[in-house]
Amino acid sequence: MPSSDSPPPNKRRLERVLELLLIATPVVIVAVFGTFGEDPNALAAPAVHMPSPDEALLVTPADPERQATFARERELQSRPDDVNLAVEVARRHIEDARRNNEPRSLGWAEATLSRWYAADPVPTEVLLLRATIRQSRHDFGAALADLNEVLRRVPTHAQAALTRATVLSVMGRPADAKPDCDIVVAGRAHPIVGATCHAALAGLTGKANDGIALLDAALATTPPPGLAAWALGTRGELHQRNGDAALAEVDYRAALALQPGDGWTTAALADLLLDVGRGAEVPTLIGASDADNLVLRRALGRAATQRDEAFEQDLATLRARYAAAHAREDAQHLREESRFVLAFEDDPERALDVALAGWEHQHEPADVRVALEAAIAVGADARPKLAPILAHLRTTNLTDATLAKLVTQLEALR
Amino acid sequence: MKWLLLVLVLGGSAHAHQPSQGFIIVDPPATSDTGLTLTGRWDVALKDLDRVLQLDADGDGQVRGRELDAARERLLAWARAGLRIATSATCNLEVAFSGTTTRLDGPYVALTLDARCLTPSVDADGHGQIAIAQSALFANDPTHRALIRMGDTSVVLRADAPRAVLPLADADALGTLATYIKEGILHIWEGIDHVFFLLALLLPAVLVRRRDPSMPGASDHWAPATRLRSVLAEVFKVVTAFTIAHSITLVLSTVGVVRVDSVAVETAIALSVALAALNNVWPVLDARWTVAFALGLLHGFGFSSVLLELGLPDAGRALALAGFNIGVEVGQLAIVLVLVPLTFALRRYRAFRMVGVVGLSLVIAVIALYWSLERLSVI
Repeated sequence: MPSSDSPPPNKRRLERVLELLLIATPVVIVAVFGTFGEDPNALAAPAVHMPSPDEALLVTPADPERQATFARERELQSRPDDVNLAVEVARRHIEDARRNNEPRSLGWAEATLSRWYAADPVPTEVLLLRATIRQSRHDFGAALADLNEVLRRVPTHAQAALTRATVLSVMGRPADAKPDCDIVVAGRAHPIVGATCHAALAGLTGKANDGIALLDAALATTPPPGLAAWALGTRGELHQRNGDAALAEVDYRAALALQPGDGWTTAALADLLLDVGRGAEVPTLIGASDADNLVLRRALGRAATQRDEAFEQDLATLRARYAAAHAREDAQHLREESRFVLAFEDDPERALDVALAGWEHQHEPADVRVALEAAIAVGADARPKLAPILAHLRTTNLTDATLAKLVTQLEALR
Repeated sequence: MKWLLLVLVLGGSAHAHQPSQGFIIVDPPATSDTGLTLTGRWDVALKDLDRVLQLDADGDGQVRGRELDAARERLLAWARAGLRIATSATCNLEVAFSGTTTRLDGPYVALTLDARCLTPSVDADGHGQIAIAQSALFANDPTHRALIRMGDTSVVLRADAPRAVLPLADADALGTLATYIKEGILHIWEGIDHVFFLLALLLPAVLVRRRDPSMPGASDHWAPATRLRSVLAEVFKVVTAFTIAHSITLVLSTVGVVRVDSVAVETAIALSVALAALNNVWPVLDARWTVAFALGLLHGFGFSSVLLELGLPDAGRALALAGFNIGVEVGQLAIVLVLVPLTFALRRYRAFRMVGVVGLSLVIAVIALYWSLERLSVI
């Protein structure tokens, strides 16, 4: 030990004080910033507890329709060969899925129908419902196969044609969908259905104004509210393609007035508000919804002005949902996830990767947009990766004011 | 009405709830002369169980604790019939109810699994395998996914692929040890803050404080130590104190007994380096081993966060932890073996004492203070 002359008393006192402080430092740090007994596996294996007898573990939605569905299902169990009853039960489950935002119901619908999948031939209505379920799960290729078969058997089947037109649009093939809209027009539905079908395609092929004209005429015939809401939402989209935000907002709000709480329209309006710098209005618009795509828009709305605890909660929820989707090998969320990563995780490269992965599955204008925005954030190096998407824009003649701006930005990158 | 089905499709990913999923976690199995024992946990969503077993007996729209209790035998029979684990033959599977839990998408029932199996036959590489097959739930809901995890292996079972084979990795003890020793060495060499801390504590080991008796009123200054033995004793004290301290917190933090917020730890480590260095410029504490111990506790938390990020293998955790710690000590020893002879040789030169020790300590202190501000995001 290096010896020294005996230090003076002042120094000795100072030394003692400092030694005490020294020992205190790690103790204080652990006490203030430490957590004890934390299980590193908390996320993978959450804590288990024994429930008490009266504890309410699961609350099922008070939905008389659902009770009716289960009643019909019990009938089906006693008459399992009744395909019409099975189709009815499955259709009820699909409507339940939409009404209650419950994807499990789609699984139950599929379980109900699966008995007939091995039949030869598979009954037409079963094929149609299976296509609807597959479409809801973004399995567009398989849905298309089923719809092709239905229309091969019944070439005038208007509902199948409408569904196929939608699937083809999402797959980025609007030109192929035109004959299907003609079938819808020739069918027995209200004229607005055919008009909306054609108008949506017009919006995807650079003819937004033609589509708007079609819808103007159709809406003047005072259609039933559900169909009118759908038409208004479509017309709002067409106005957005033209860059007319004000007119688009009027239509979206009118659609919401007819069908309050409709997820798709709420999301479309939220995106519009975010685009014109009115993101602060989005949280109020969305309210307390728990649906993934609305939680994302609410978080985006709050990002500029209101990064409070509710905002952090939304971010945590989204992160967990996207992680769960990856664990399930489920590709539905990729477009939203790309927006999330770009806005909140400061990782443009990953946002671009996710957007391009999403592009493998669907080719909607919104998919183009997230890819462009991510690529712009990455920089000029990303340009080659967007080549297939830019080619798609040219082939389909998709004309959209926002997309055009983004493409110009992308091409100007150095 | 039918047309509105289309609108459903447009709102594709608007679901608030998750699709059906289940979670199976299998612990690393234990082998014995009589075969293989597997334990694990199976979490099944209450929504799925309600669908399958009709748990709401009184129909009040709620599944209560007592209703779940009443259905327990049916539940266990259903679970036993719905899961199959096999090695060279089907294992004897026992399922027990351990309670309820909450996951991202709602309440789940947690079941414990206990399987007695025959010793698995090994493949060409000498590795055994376990097969898991689930038949439960897929028939009710073809969208159900079963997420299975055993150690570092994860697999997803689906309706069209309800069976998976999980490899049993032999705990390659020597290999694990070697890997983590290497990581420990690398970390301390790459961890400049730890190296600077050691440097600050050991540079003065070859020096002593002396007051020139011929000049009363003059302050202390650094002078060379005279005996190698006392230098070695000092080095030994400091290094041992640092080692013991950081080992304690490394272990406690890695096993999860106590964790500290990483920003706090990293900032504290930076400050500790600054303090140790400043103590060389304005020496207040002679017993540097106390500094080494007290502040070494903080450095252990820092090592632990690196180790946790690296990941520990499920089988052989203790071995990996020990290996990492050994690596840190070996790396540390290497530094000491270079530093001490060098400084011992240079100690008589005033330039070394002034520039090499005091000057360098000042530089270290400034850098460390900069780090602490950076880690606090002030800069």
